[in-house]
Amino acid sequence: MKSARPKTRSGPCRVGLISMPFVSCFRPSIQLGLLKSVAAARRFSVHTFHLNLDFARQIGPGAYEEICAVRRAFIGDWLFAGAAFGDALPDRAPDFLTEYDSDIHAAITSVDKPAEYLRTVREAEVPQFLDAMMAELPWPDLEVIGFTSTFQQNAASLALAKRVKRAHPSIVTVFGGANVEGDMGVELVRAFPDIDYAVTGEGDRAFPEFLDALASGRDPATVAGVLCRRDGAVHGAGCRPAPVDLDTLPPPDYDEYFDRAERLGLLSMAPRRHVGIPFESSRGCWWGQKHHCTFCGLNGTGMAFRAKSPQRLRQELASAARRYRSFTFEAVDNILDMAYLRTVLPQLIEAGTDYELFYELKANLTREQLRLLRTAGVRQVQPGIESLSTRILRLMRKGATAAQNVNTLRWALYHGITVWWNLLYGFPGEHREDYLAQERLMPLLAHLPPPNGAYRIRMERFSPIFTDRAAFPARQVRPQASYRHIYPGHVALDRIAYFFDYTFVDALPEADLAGIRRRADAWRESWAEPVAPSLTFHAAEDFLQIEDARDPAQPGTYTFTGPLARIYRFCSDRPVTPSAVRARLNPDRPLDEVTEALSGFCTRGLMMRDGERYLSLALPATPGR
Amino acid sequence: MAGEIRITQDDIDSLATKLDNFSEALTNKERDVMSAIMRLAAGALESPSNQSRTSEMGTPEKSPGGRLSDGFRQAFEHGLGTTFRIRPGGAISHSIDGG
Repeated sequence: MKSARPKTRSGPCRVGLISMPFVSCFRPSIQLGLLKSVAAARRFSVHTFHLNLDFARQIGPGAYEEICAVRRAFIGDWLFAGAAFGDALPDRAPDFLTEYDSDIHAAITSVDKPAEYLRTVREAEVPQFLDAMMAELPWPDLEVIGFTSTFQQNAASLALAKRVKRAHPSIVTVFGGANVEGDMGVELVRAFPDIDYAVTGEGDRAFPEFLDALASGRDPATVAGVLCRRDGAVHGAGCRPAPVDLDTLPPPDYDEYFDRAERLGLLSMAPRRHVGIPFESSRGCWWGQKHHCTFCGLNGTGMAFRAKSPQRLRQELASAARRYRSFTFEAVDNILDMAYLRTVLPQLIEAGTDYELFYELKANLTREQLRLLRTAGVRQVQPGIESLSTRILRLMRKGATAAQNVNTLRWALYHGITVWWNLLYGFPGEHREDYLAQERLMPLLAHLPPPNGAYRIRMERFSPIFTDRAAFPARQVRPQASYRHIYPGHVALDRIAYFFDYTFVDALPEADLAGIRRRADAWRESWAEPVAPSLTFHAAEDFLQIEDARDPAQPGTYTFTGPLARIYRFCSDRPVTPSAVRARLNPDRPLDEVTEALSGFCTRGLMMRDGERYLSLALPATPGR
Repeated sequence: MAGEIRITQDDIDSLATKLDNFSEALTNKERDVMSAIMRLAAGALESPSNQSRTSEMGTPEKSPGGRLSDGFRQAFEHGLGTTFRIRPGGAISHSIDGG
């Protein structure tokens, strides 16, 4: 490819940062908000344009969000592929709609004929949207435009970049975001000449330095993390910016997101907003640094864990609540910093804040920790439960057991914390019995929040199952099939893809996993009923009644007195061994008698056994203690 | 008494919380080793010389009478709790099974 080196310039840059479809329209982009702040701190004139809002309004926010949520088919990228790649794209439209017919019908329920709707969006709505954005945005006032691209934002970003470069060739285009990490960024820069530069890795320092270089006439390609084409090759690959100290970053600026959402009528003007404000309290994954979960590719090549100081985080939340008039915050962190359990969270309780927080965290939380989280305002969590089999969890390197996962579900429910979780399958080394055991366990957990669904793991770039083929021998590893329908022939799909299709040599076939999928569906359906299943114990001293309404059609009550009542309560806080129960109950009791009693609870579905540990499944009748 | 172990619920809760946090730093094999150590420790605590601890809710279990599992007999009954159903006017109509 011929060298394409944009002209360097002198003087301050006027910068536009753009978020294109498809990413949820319900929250601002933290990438745009943060880069606006860091660039503005260097005295650049920066405006953010959440154009995903415009497209959501145009095609309807309901269908728009459904497209954002599709897991397997990259419908969003497919919709913009025609506009992005034009004649270079083989006409695969019928193939795509046929191949993903079941995904499309399952995902898009807000319109009557989703396939026809998607065709209309691709052929009419997308060109109309791009024309409107070309007419509306102040292109002549901009010297640099930056696109953030994660998951399904590539094609739309490329489509707009192409039009901008045709109409305003002097504007410098730069891409950033997760889609630009590693080989993916190199291939984007190589394959698409409408991308002048890309910033790979953390952009907080690289992006303003890139702008500095442009403004001062230096070569931007000398900035660590900046990629560009030079002499037919991609320059700058392999040179990542150093991780930043998060406390040195300014808070993200979301003003233009809210202005735009209100101007478009997507969000009404009101004294207070119920909108989740994205915030970042840490980067990287402290668990992944020690034991990289086998299926996770989220942190790319930047696993190193860092967290903001408690004081800084509290200031940021307080200032964002005032500025955006919202008390709802969504952490973009991959994992909660456990030190916050001793610092930030008790401090928020002390301060009496009314925040509603979302966090991703590790699943082996205790009852006390979950109580602390809830009291501090954590209302929703994604604990990475993934399985109800300790053996499968070991194969995943999750660092948690099935009983710990169940216990997290129990005490989260008890303390009023919504849990988002999935069941995953398809791990090398799994056995059919691992799933049969889960099928037997799942009805006993009907009173606990159900999984969103049961899914085969996806092979993600940067995950151990992708990078460590010796440990995870896979056959037929190839870019996920949907990429074929999106990118032109000159694009190396194996370098631009994040998801890959594959076959593990010893993974179970789909037929062996139908049972767990059915159980997950039934579990979800039971929670959609007017009365959710329940399993509750009422305790007095040495007296216990367990009301079992997991099957509301056949409720029953168990009554226990004396040692059995005490055993049940003792096994309620956390999974415990028979030895511990015996030591607590009465050391004179033979161990086999204690074990027999624990087995008696298991036989009646009132406890679960996980290896040597037993866990009571019912929850106390008095909530929130 | 010298060497006597007095354990409270707070001690157990505090240790369990610290072990939960600590276990996050361990590999699966290291966790197995820690479990084995804990089993040995539990066995030591359960030895006759260490029986001065109190059971749950602070009351020692009375001397065992019958097997524990005897308590499962007739533990189950169909239905849930019951209450009075009161008409809007205040009159009690009849009791119903809450299930």
